[in-house]
Amino acid sequence: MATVTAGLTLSSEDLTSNGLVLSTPGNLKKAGFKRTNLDNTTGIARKSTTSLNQYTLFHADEFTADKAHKVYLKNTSNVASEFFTVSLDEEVMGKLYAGDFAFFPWSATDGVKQSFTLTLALTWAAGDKVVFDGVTVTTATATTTAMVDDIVAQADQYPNWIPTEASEHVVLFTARSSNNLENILEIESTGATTASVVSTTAGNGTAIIAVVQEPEANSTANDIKITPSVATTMTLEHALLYEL
Amino acid sequence: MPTTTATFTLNTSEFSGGGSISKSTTLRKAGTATGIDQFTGISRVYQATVAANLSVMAAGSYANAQAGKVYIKNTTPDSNTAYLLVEMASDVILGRLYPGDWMFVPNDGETDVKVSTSAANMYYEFGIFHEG
Repeated sequence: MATVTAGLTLSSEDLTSNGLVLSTPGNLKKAGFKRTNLDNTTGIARKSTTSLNQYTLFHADEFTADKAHKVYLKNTSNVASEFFTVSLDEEVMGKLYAGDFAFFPWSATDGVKQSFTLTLALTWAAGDKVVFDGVTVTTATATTTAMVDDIVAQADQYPNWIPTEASEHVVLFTARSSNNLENILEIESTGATTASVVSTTAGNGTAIIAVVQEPEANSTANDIKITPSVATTMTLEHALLYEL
Repeated sequence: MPTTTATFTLNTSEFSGGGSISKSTTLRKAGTATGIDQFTGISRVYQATVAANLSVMAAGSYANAQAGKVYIKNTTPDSNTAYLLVEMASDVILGRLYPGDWMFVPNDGETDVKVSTSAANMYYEFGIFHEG
């Protein structure tokens, strides 16, 4: 098992009258009983930006919640006034000024994910289609059951949603990301197919949606978000040490 | 002005492609080249019982828009499971510090920092570098 160590030394000869020397080494281990070493890392990477736009550095949904993950961040700027604002979802942790680093635990708490059901009914024919999230599913068999199976079989193809079989005639779509509000389901009216989900049937087949979980702007997922302070080039050095 | 240096070392040499880094920075006031000049000292706490929302930093006691730093370490010995749950502001969970784990984060004086203990007989220490 790989050994990963992270240490911090804080020193000053004149901050206090007796000086300051604090050195704290540490092996990074997994959470829980009989702790073993952390064994996954994103590696040390850098991300440069040229805008003031906030971005998500680490999505909580992509990591197991409540483990002993650790995050390392460093502002590589040499300009004293340039900083990154570090946030946990919508909550500001602090500002990382030029040269500053941060190292902290991260629980990667999941948030609320939008979900809806798609109920297929009446007569579906071979060649009928359901289009959603950029994926077109065409059934070769003239039953709603087969169409449900065909949609679920394409689960890996949907970039933003995960379809699962809720029942023989019903597909449950769950958003892959809790904070993704760019691809929310658009509903024109209850009981109708929508701008988001388009069905094409030769007969009288219907595809009816029903929202199970509404999207939330602040979904409580504690994603690590970064906001640069200037629109000129700023570079953040980062790493995540994590466990599955 | 005082000069306070923080040095971070990370060794991942046992990972394929891993290595070690050492990064040092001087703690300065927000947006300036002036050194941070105030420090709470390192407080060491023994918590006999499980407790929630123990204050580490009450933002109301500090000026806003500063380049403060918060250090916390779980110094509990001989335990695999006793963790400190670190929270910010209104119960926003940051993460868990297991025995031996530490953290060093920026704080602009506008966000409370709290910890909760997961077991009895835990120890932790903390210190805040700030601008007043």
